[in-house]
Amino acid sequence: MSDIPAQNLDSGGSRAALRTPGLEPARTVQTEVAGRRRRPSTGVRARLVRIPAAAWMCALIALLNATAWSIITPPFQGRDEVDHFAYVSQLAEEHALPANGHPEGTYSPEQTLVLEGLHYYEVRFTPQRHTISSAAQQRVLTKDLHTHASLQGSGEAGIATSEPPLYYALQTIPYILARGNILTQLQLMRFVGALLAGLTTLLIFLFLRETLPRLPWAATVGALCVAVQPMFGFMSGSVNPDTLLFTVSAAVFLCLARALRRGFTRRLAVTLGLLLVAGLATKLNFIGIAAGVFVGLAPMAVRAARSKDRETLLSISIAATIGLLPVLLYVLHNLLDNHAALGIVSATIGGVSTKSVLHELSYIWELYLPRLPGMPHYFPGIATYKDIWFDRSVGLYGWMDVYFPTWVDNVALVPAGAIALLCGRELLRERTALRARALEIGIYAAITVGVLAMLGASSYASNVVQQAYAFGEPRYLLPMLPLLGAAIALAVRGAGLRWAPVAGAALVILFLGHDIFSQLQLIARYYG
Amino acid sequence: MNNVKVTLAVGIALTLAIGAVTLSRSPPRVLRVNGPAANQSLGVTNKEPAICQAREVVPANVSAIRLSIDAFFGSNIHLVAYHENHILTEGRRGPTWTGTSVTVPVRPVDHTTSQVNLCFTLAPNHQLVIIPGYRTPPSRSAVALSSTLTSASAAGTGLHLKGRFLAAYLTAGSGSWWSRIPAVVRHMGFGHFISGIWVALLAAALMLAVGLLTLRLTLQERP
Repeated sequence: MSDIPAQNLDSGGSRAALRTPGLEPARTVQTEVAGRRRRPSTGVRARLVRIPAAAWMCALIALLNATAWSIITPPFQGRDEVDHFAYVSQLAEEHALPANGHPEGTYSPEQTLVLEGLHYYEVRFTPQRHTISSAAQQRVLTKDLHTHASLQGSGEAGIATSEPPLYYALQTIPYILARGNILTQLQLMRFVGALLAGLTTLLIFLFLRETLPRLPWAATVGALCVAVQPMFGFMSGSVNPDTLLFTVSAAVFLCLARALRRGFTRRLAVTLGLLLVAGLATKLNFIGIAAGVFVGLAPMAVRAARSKDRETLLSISIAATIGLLPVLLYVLHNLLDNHAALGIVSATIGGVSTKSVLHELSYIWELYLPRLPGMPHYFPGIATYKDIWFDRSVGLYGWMDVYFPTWVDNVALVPAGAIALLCGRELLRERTALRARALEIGIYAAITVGVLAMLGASSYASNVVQQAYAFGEPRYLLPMLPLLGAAIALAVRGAGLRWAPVAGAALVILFLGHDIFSQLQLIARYYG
Repeated sequence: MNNVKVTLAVGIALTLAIGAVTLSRSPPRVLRVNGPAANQSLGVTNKEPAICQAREVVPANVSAIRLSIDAFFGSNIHLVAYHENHILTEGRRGPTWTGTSVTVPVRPVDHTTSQVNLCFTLAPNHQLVIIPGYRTPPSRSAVALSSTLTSASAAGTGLHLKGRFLAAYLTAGSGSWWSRIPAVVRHMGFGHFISGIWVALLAAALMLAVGLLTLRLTLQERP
């Protein structure tokens, strides 16, 4: 963590730093500060103490918010929660990874009984069907819970089967602690997700204070808005490896921000490398983020090589080597077992390569942006950027069966447009500083493109090659939450010094209101 | 400093007002469902289906019709109810839906009408769509048309599907959400790790804490 409070990089110091390209500014500031201050303690406790109280408060708010979501969301009605629970169950009961996943995996007798008792299959995907609502149904469920049927399934975990095990290994702790009642186990596992939401928010707060230190208020507002962002709350309140993915991604962003501003120390390099390992061991989607990081590190290495900065070059090599190690081990393992080198990813790439690369690029483009002349029509009648990404970002909860009426999505365009305008105004005003930060912005852009391209390629493989469904859930974009926080903070700054407090307060209330109405929408769908 | 307080106060007042108005509205009520639950797929397509089924009964006061259609990316849907070759009612909805059903608002009908031919088309469409339904003899089944919807759809010429698609006829409910709060709170008490009123109370307490802490931090950190 930082030895320098982020606020110290503020105003004059930070402005001077922004004018100097590359890594110089952060080092200059660090030297100056180190010169007039006693070298601070670097122990874990000392670093935790230096974290601003506002950061802890934001983390607590995110934790409480995700816990509220975990309580109002009926058991197993989180996205793919049944499969993720089955994965944890398989790990805890059989001490083995699941295998042979099918879309509808065969769960353990206990899980199957409880799902029946909850009327799970009748409720999911069916907005007109509420959850169980009578004492008689509750009695059946209670009986199912106390049957103590076997927790050993067929070894399947549905769509989660192919996912790496880190998140599931973590979730075995609450699973084992709450053994005896599957609903208590699930709730405790959801609470772990809520804790991760708190940690993610804390990291985002630090990232915002690092990257946008001039107006601490703006960074606080950005982190607060993320803390009560409803889709983040919903996902964090359910059992899903996405929650750990958000945390790891936020930590990666923070690491990169520090490396680019204060110098890429070996400690940061090792941390970044380990984070890449953790991300790859959490969810396959992290490949997009990791690819973005590697692409971003390349120009950093070139710059370091040109300036003969051996320290930075060594740090980049350390981070890249540690980050690539699990990939190399995975490839080696697959090759020794006579499997495709990249496992499930190879299958996707193999299917894709039979089609034209241009078609795939067109598809990925159209999945997010308006079709350009000459491109084939992949989504006729659908403005994907609005109908899929924006509208579903306004609200898509439960088993993708809880969303707002279209008029709400249209009204939401107004505040979203205002945020975009204010953010754009600030970026325009700080264009000189932006040029000085081109490398940093380029790395964040590379990560974003990596995430979008990974999702688009997967969607193409499913939608076009296999003639199945396209992928269009905004939750896949939540690893970019630090950038959402940054956009909000920039919007607050864009309002100008006089109006920044008002803009910040308005945004906080807007996000809080959005969160509350989203929860009411979920309550109406399941219990109305 | 005061500006922040005023902004927060106005924001809270607005949120409460919108909440109060929302809760004073009624959830939709099902007037009629045309058959048992959908239990099989009548067809799968990524083209632009136009499907009709005869012998529907459209109840009086219907304001929306919910069709069983399964899609991940919805499409523009145009729904028309024909009676004796005339349009009884119709409605449209954009592609902003997903899941196993789509609710299409329609022009209200003031009297119950039988012998209605209910038709819908999804166009333009390039995405995978499944039409779930229930099996019936071919004489009563839905018909997939080769062309777009016209009044000639009433003739029912086309490819007979395996059964009928599910249609639920909806209207505005009678009681407001306000009046349903006790029932909702009771309902939330079933199927969780704890039972009874505690589920709703715990959720409310957590959200109250979230709200208060958020406001406190906003005021504390304001410039």
